[in-house]
Amino acid sequence: MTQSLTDRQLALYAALAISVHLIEAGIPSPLPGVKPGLANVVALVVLLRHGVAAAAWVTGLRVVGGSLLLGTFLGPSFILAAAGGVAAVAMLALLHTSTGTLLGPVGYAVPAAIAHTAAQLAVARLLFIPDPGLWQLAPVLFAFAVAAGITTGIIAAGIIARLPPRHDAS
Amino acid sequence: MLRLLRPADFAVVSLAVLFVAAVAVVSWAPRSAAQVAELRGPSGIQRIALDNDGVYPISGRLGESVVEVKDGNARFVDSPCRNRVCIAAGWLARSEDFAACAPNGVSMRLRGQGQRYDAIAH
Repeated sequence: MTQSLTDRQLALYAALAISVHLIEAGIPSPLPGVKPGLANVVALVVLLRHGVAAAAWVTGLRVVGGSLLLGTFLGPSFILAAAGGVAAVAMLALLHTSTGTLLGPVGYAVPAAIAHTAAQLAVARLLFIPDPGLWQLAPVLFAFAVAAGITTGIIAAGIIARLPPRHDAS
Repeated sequence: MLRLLRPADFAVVSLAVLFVAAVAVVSWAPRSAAQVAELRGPSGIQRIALDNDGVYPISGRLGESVVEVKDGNARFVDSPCRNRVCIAAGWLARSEDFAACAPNGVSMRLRGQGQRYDAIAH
């Protein structure tokens, strides 16, 4: 199932992820910092069809490209997004190498969302909110992370099920 | 791949829910607000554990100020100054709570885990 990607295909996936990222940024959130992270659907699809390296590229390009277009590059929200992205990709790589084909999209998305939230909490605590009271928010944020992981995982599973099983790398 | 969730996915989601519950238990556990009263006077700093109920004198420039510790809280009960601002401050309960008798050169600050801030702005 895993196939190598051309640069052009990778760029298309990244552009798709950035588009979803931008649309989501325009939707107001009831709680600051809580987003479903629908752009990660693209990363999940890429992970399961093309492997960890491709998913890492798509996530990295999405975080940098999205922040450039939103005007937050190198700002606090970019640093948080980058930390979350790195942690999520690290979790995906760990699961991918250790569990093989055991997990579906939901099994990848939920731990990745938790890693994403944990990294953001740690970075926020160290850099932006020097108050131990921040940990009081952790259970709420992790609960949202699990819900977001299940949601994005199910969407990704639905997309993968509808994609053609083989994909010409031309 | 017609089924959206595999058995392993259910296991992962169950573990994730347990993880969230564990985080909730740990981070929402009640904890004492402050552990130590730090008394600062002309002759130095004196620390009193807030689980030692009692009355503690501290000497200042005008005379002796008296601090009472009870049930994890602390307050000034007597001071040889005119305005008695330190006594009017009442019970100090939380970390970083502060009271002082400026004429006597004596102050008390509670210390606990970490530091508390009045406000944070970005």
